[in-house]
Amino acid sequence: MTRGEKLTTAPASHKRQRFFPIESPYLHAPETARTVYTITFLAACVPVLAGLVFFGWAAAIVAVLSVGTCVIVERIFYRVARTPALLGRSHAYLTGILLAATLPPFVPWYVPVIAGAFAIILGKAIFGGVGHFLWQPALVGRLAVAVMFPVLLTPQTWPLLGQTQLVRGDIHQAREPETYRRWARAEPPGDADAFALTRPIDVLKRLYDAEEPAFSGIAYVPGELDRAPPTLTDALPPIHDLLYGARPGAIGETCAVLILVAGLYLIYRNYVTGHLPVAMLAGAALVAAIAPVHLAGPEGQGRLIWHPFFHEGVAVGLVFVLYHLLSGGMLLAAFFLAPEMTSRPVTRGGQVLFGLGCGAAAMLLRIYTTLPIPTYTAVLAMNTLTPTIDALWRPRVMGQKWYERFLLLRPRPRADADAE
Amino acid sequence: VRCGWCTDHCPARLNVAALNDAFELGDIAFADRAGALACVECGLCSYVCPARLPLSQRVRRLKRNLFQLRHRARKEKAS
Repeated sequence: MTRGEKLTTAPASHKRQRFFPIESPYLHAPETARTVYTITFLAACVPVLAGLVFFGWAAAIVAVLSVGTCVIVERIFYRVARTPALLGRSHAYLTGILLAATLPPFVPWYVPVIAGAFAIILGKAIFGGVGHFLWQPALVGRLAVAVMFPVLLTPQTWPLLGQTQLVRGDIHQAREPETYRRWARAEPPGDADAFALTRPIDVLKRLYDAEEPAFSGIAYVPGELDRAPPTLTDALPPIHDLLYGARPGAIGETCAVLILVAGLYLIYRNYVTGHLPVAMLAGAALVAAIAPVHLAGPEGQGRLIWHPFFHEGVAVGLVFVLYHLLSGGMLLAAFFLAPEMTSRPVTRGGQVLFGLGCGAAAMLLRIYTTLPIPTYTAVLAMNTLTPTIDALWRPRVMGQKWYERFLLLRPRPRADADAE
Repeated sequence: VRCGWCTDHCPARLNVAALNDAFELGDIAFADRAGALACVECGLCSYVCPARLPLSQRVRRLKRNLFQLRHRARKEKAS
């Protein structure tokens, strides 16, 4: 048996060992926190690599700076604070790559450095390290730079390399194309390497503008030929562009297929419970399906459509909801950021609640506010509620009645004094 | 690391992460509320824990403390 030695590893010896001698069980599962974090790190590298393809070497610099800063700051902090950094390094790598996945590719060098320092010190170290923090550290760093550099990180147009310039192109030389239908056949104008495009999330947001309704409908429907031409799907790239990642956005959040594959592998390894991403996407889809949109009528006046999912038939509604789920950082948040082990609820039911709240809040923030990072803000907000959800949704302990787990404040009267 | 694997595997359906918190905080009432006495000491939580926390040992100590408290209360009532 090759794994035998690993299986019988004794618990790590430290000072407490004197007071707590080794007790049963003597066997341990071969999986340690380090392997958990290393494999999650490798899985998170996959969408970031897709980002390197679509955004070129500038994205690689951002990713390397972010990971390097996280690891170095972690090391320096625990040297200075003189506290043991349990499992710190593998988690610092993971935080760095998740932070790089949420950052835009065109940022100057100091943005990932500042974000990494904030993520490690403010997000993780002052809470006591791995296993103790309340908010997902990578998102803390992302929120910090979003607050510090609001103009730099949220421009009007975001760059995307042309297909002849993949990997080696310069993302900073972007120019706005006159007409852009789809990525596959288009060439960047002039000698530019990249398109400067509006993000799909910003295009979708114009649907909810009550003053100036921008679109006459969601999609072109045969039989309604007389409708005014600009519809929502005219202004958006086709949906397969969003699937394989040819859309402007942050480094790691564009390639939906690779995020799904890596996320499903994490679910297969049981690092992520399947309930949480599914609940988060379901919550987001529900809000997207029923949130009222504003469309321009035949004479240019606005009209309010209450259920965009059913407005032009279920097929168009499904595509509309899919556009919402695939744009922005929704998939990345659902599979990598929200299911961070420490900042999610422990029980399955709590995770479903958490996921539903994340998805619904992300969609509401995205539609009705002008926050630069609505999805990540929603995840951070729900992380704040994690202890509450943990207290609210407790597993039914053996011997309890089914309703007793909902009795929040009144514990079950135990038979101490009045047993006799 | 609060992964929740102990809670997933516990045959008595205990929230072992909460019991670990109770041990670290020294909060016996919280441990009682979380149902520490339902523990059957199978040791699965210690086995699966990726952070190698001595979970079943800690719950064992919580149970012992709870029994001691209960015994003391009973003695005071009798006297």
